[in-house]
Amino acid sequence: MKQEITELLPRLRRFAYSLTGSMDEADDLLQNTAERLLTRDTPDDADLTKWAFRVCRNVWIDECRAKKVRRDAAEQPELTDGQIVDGQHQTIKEIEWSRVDSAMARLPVDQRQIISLVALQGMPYKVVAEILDVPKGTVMSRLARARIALSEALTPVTMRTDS
Amino acid sequence: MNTTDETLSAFLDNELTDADMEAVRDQLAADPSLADRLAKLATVDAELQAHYSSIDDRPMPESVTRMLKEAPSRNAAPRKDNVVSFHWWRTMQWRGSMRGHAGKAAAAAVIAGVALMQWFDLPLNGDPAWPAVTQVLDSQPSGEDYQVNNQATLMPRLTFRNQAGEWCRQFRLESADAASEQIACRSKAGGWEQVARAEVEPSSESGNYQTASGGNVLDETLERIMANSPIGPEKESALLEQLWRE
Repeated sequence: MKQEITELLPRLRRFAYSLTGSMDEADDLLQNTAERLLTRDTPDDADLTKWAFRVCRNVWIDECRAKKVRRDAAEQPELTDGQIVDGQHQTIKEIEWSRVDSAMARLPVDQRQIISLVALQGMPYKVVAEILDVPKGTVMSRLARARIALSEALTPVTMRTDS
Repeated sequence: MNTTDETLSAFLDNELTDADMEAVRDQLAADPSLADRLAKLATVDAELQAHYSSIDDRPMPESVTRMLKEAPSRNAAPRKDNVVSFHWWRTMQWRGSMRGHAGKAAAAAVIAGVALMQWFDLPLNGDPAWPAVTQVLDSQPSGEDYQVNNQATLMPRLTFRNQAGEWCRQFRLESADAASEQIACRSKAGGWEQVARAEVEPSSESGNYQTASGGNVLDETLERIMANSPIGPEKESALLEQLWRE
């Protein structure tokens, strides 16, 4: 169990980063996820990988509720993450509100989770549907919406040559 | 078929039926604007991967690694989990050409994993001399076939660290009438030692996909001995260049 969690950490961490949009917050989320995985029983019939991603997502949602600040920040991209959290340990790179982060932050929560699990983790739709407890068709449609929204948000910048 | 963005998105993930995949391919060939739309959607994935994998460059928080180290060990997760989770990162590893094609092998790997133990102690029938094998392991990147003494081909598949901190490689060795999947680890002194070997069907006509996904037979052994996920192509090529010194 310990070893399996350890092996999953790098992937959970990317997932956490894609959800939070900040490396520091991702590491906090990772820690809370690992803690919950270790201290609470995993259902006997659970697939550990799916379970771990589900726990990570649940911890994140709990944290989101607790910190409504994040939402407000997402709606005002000019207010950077670095200005909200304690910037002490942050690098310059992180303090910049990345255009990917801001595009992701504008997505509805469920779309963000889905695109992260598919595009970043390479998970099959069926598995994503099980993790998020939604029908596979929902995964497919929300994923498409997320991809379109992100491609629209990201394209103008990628097409620019003067940046 | 009217190709919606939803269809294109699912096409990108190889999540359509074979017939629908084919239909989209036909449409893509006929309609350049559709190909542009697909490219736009695919760019999103690439951007997300590039952006969010950058956290890998930052050391894992010590609090997390310490917590895991200090946690009491419990029983291993059910065997099936290991294979499935393993399968995912393998898919990621080979994502470019392999997207989706590794899919069917997970169930087979569960069965093969059980049969594997019977093969463990077999002698190296028909294999080329070990020094010739290790020469390839020492110097060649994963993902391609290399000739060994003109009597076999060797394809290194993965490079990873074992629990003892040694570098190991998983590879396929195939001669005219036999094939095997193997794992060898490199001692600090520089010698390669075979640590696992499983006989598999020779590949015959089945093409590239088979060779890239067929390593699953050793997945359970890999799960057990790997300290981390396999390293990517860039890191591997740097490692080979530096003659396995970091």
